[in-house]
Amino acid sequence: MKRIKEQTYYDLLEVPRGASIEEIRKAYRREKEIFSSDSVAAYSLLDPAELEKINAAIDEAYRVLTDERLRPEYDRKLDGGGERVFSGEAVGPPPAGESYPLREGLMGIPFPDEFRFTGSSLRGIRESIGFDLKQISQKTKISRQNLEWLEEESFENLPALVYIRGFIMEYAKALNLDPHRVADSYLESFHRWQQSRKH
Amino acid sequence: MVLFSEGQGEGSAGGRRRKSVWAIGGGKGGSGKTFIAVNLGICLSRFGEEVILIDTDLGGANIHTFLGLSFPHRTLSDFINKRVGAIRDVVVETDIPNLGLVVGAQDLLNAANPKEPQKWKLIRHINSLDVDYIILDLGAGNSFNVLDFFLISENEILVVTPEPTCIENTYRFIKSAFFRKVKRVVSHYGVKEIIDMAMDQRNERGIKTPFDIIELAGEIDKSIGLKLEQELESFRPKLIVNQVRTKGDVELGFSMRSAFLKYFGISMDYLGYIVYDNDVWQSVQKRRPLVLEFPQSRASKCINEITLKLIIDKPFLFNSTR
Repeated sequence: MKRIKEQTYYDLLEVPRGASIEEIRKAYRREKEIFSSDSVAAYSLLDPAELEKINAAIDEAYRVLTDERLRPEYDRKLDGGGERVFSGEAVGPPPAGESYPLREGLMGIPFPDEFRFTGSSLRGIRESIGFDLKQISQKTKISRQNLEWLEEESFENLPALVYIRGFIMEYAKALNLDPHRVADSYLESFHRWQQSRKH
Repeated sequence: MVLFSEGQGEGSAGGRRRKSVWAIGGGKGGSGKTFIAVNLGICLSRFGEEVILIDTDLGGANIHTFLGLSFPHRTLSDFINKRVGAIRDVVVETDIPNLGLVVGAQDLLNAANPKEPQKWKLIRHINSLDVDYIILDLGAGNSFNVLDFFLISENEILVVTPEPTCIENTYRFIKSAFFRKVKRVVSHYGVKEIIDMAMDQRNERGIKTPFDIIELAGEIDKSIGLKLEQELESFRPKLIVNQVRTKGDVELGFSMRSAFLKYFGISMDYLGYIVYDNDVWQSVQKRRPLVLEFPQSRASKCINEITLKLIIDKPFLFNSTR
């Protein structure tokens, strides 16, 4: 939580420390647009005096960060002063002209430890990415019927455990998920099913 | 078989699963809160999670209509008016596996305006439900009832459409929620007075932002100032932009996040957007949830994506540089 006066120039422009001049220019244009007097995003939150103050701060940030002499000085001051600097995580929208592609997989976005990869959760992930079973079948060379059974956890119809593990790992790879974690989690259901058959 | 059971009561967490409460709010009527609550609930249930949707729109309940159900014989009114003893008694099953529903009150009197103790009893009972997810569909406006349901949630989700009036209402809602949140944790009369004053935009002391309140409270008592600062840091609403037609509409979420960051000093999570899609209109007309009726529609994919982001609790940042 930082007040405007406590925000670094990088915070103000919402760019990481190592941002290039081009990134800074784009960020500046974006911020100026957001805090323009006719911006729908800002006008009802900030009054004209506050808008003016923010615009002045954004101008100042831009001036320093695009100046090849002032920026290294400012960086040294940040490093030396022990001030909190922007983590570089929260960056604004993509530059103008670029689209917002839906991710084609989830690798890199950690699932919580307690997340269970069951047949239904895998189906949910598949659908959210926009794949149908035909596409997964083409990618994995697993028949559509077997994929359906995997999602339904219809273990009585599926082949032996070793095959199920192979299938599920291929399926996970097709969704860009960690195949080992998915297989371990998914097979817990299989083992429960196996146990229940013994009783 | 009891599909949706209640826990062992307040404070008895033993044996209960970890539950997450999501509230869908935003101030303005017609922004799509109920539509989103229903479809998020269905997406979650398809992940194999047990979900209960609760229509907390006391007085204007209509969530059952989005699910194509007729008005059930058990509703929240029965609980509020003590005709049943536990909230699980008013959970009705839907034809969607793992999804239960509590239909809101439609009474114009008692149930629509529950007294404080009734409301807190309701909140305690909601928290004691033993399911994976509870989704609260909030009513419009900034009444204390709406704000309190919003504030008990782990995921405080705001729905905004790209219209100036809706954006304005959303900010008003956020500010009201923050003021309500901090007012609940302080007992000092002078600080409460400052918070009340801040609600009036043209207050004589020029209090505008949350920082102004924190500073003034800190002057009265440093420990209260610090406490309010912690409250502000823990306040992290999430945003969905609904009915997106243009790239500019998509960017509204980022712009609001940026304005919010400068105003509150904290980040709001932009969960994503839902495209304007004729299929949405058709599904509402048919009284069939979009994600079931038109699973391949663009809007369905947006909702699925948002559900996933919420489940993994890492709203990704649409960041082209990552």
